[in-house]
Amino acid sequence: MNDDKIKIKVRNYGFYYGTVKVLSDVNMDIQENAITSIIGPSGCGKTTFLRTFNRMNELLPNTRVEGEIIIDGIDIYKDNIDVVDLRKRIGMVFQRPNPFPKTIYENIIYGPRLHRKYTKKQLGSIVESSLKRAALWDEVKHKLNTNALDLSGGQQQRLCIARVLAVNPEIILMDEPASALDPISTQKIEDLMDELKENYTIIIVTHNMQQAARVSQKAAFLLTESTGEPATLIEYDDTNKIFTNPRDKRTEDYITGRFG
Amino acid sequence: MRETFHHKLEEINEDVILMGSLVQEAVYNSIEAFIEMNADIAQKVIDGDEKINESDISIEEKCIVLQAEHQPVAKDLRYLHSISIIIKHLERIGDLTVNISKIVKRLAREKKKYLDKEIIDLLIEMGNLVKPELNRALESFKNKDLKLASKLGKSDDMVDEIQKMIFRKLFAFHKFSEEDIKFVTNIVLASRYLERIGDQSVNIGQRVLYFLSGDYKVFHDNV
Repeated sequence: MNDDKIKIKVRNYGFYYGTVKVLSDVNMDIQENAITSIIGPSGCGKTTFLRTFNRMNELLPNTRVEGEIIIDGIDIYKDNIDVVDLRKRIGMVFQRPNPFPKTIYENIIYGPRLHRKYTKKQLGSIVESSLKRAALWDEVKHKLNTNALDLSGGQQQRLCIARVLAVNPEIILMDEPASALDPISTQKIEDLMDELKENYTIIIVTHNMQQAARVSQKAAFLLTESTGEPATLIEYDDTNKIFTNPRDKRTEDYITGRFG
Repeated sequence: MRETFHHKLEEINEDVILMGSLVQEAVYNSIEAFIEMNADIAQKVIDGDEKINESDISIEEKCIVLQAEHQPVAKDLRYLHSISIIIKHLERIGDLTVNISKIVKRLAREKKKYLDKEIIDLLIEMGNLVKPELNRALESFKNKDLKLASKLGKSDDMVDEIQKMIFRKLFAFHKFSEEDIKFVTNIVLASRYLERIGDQSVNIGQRVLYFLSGDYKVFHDNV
């Protein structure tokens, strides 16, 4: 892990749904080639925050961002940013596996082909390397032309990760990527994340405290302190520190289940 | 579920306090048996050790089950982990009181010719330093008292010094017969066990300091 290199700088970030401010005054530096987990109670804006990094929230009407999200020195909310290109650099994996109802092969080549033309040979090698990086190759190499929906839930989720990897992103956003999976598939996803962090910057939202403790190097705790108020970043630190000796009593109360 | 967890945590807390009082009693009795060379009290200590050992195992088991069921974090994790270690120190103190008591039983019938007033006074003084050390350790655990836990270990040097004095005085006697050697060595050993009880109490205090503060440095500073 590269301790020094900061991939993303979040500065005075706030988010509005219409006139309602749901997140306020978030400042944090996200490390490159590391896994950062975002934890907090339901409804505290974790997913909203995650979707900020690839400007997915813009797909909803009446939303507004304040502050800056600076990736590699460039504020991604500046007007001249190409959102399609941004989303190529920043892939996303969702809670429920959502492969296209197409073959495994077609699922993988869908993204790369949006961006440019490839030869059949090139596509073949993208499929192979993406599936290998997603630790799925050995399980599906003989059935690339079967429908992706025939795979198990855990395999489908790894296929979705392979699909993200196929476009060579720099950052991968994961929104509860294992919450719909059984423990064995969860384990596979977690092992995979650990391998992927060597080459990608990963941000994960998770409700599973032990998962955050296991997989991430940094952890951020978001909390809405009273109803109607926006959530804020309460504590952001090394994951080990958060889970053995958090600085803030609110973090301690939340992770030890003494909340409310 | 979390309420069940906190309830069980409280139950373990009570168990440790109870185990602590058993160990406290064993320490007081073994010191008295040693100074008085009283075989009856010594036997009482030896008999009581089984209960201490049982507490150790039963608390350890509860800690493991609770960790497996609830995967505690932060202060709960530090607390359970520390308890698992504190009970080992308590159990070890129990063993040391048994060691002292066995020596008392071995020597009780013999003439107390080496236990002159000077040696006895030193042993009393040592006991008077070791007992409060254990009391403080247990008190700091019971009341989650960071300040008290940080005061432990202050009399350590003095206990060490007295133990050395006992050693020097006993071996200052002229020529030893084989019987004498057995007697003197046993007294030195017993005073050494007493000193170890003090050390174990300090270790307990360090664990209390750790689970309260979360600062692992406490273990590095004092070794």
